[in-house]
Amino acid sequence: MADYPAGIEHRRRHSGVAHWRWQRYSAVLVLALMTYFTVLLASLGGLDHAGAVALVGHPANAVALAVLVTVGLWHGTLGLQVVIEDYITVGGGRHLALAAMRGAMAVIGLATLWAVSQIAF
Amino acid sequence: MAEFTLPANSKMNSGVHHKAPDGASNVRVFQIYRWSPDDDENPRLDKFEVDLDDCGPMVLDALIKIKSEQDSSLTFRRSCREGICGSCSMNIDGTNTLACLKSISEVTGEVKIFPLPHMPVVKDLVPDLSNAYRQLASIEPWLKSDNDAPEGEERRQSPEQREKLDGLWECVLCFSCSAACPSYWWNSDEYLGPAVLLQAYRWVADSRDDRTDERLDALDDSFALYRCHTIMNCAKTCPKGLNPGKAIAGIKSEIASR
Repeated sequence: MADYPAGIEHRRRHSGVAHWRWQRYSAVLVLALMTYFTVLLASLGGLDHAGAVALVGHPANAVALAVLVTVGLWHGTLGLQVVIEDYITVGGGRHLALAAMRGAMAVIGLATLWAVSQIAF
Repeated sequence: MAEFTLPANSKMNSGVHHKAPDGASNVRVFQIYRWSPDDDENPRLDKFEVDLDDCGPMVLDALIKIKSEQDSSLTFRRSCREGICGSCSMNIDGTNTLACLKSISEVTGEVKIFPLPHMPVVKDLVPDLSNAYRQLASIEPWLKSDNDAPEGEERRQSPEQREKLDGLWECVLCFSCSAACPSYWWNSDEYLGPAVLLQAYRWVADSRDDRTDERLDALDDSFALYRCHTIMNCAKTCPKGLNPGKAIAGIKSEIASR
């Protein structure tokens, strides 16, 4: 058997199965958490500001929101990685685009987690 | 970056209009992509009027008639004329298919014929399949067994084992599917494409082959295999009715379950 399929002889083979698995695991988690988030959002309707802050700041809700943000952004990162790899060549700045995307997602994630923590504590 | 527009020397001009012979009563117009490496001209779209009362029913019949009677320089691949050899794959009426299996009556209006998309053109309707053939060779599409076949006998399979090859062995390697796959358009240098991956799965699924793990190791690459995003153009366009997307899912499943 050839060490590599044609076309990737110039680089080390990098397994795609972990990425493929985590795309699916995170999708299932996001689906479950978004269902919970939709219910939480709907229950905010009848509350005033103090009531809404108390509900979001409840430890169980704050933890769930933090997990949703983390898993959701991770799922988005995996997806955007595929888009960038599909459409931007190595010579066209693929690695730079991937780094910029991951950096932006990390900033968005940290900012959102900070906002949730400000409400919770 | 991926290229979304044609280079200036690939933009198509209108071409020559070949009229039907006098007295033709059942005329259909065939618009055919023409390009020759022998001059510096841009590609052009020639029009050929064909009398269907004096022509076979398939698009390949019309192409052969045009070449015989109107323009002998028209270039295309063909051999078996019955969907077995895979030579006459081209884009007809917006879909990659085999000209010998595509009935003219299936097309409404003028019949537009182009070479397989997103592949270099050798001439007219002949694409350069060198990259696809190189990729096919790299998956080593032949039986690899640690044991010799029993003396004077074939290597036996149960009906269930043999059934796993159905939907795989029928592929005629026309590459209609690969040329219809956007992932292959953008990354054909590293992504093997649906035709080659279907062939790869044909050997992974074969109970007589002893190198399954080795084959799966070689295929487990983020570009060679995982550029397939289940767009499924491959299954939609396959002139043999096969489903390369399902075969690719089979490879992914085999790798994930190890």
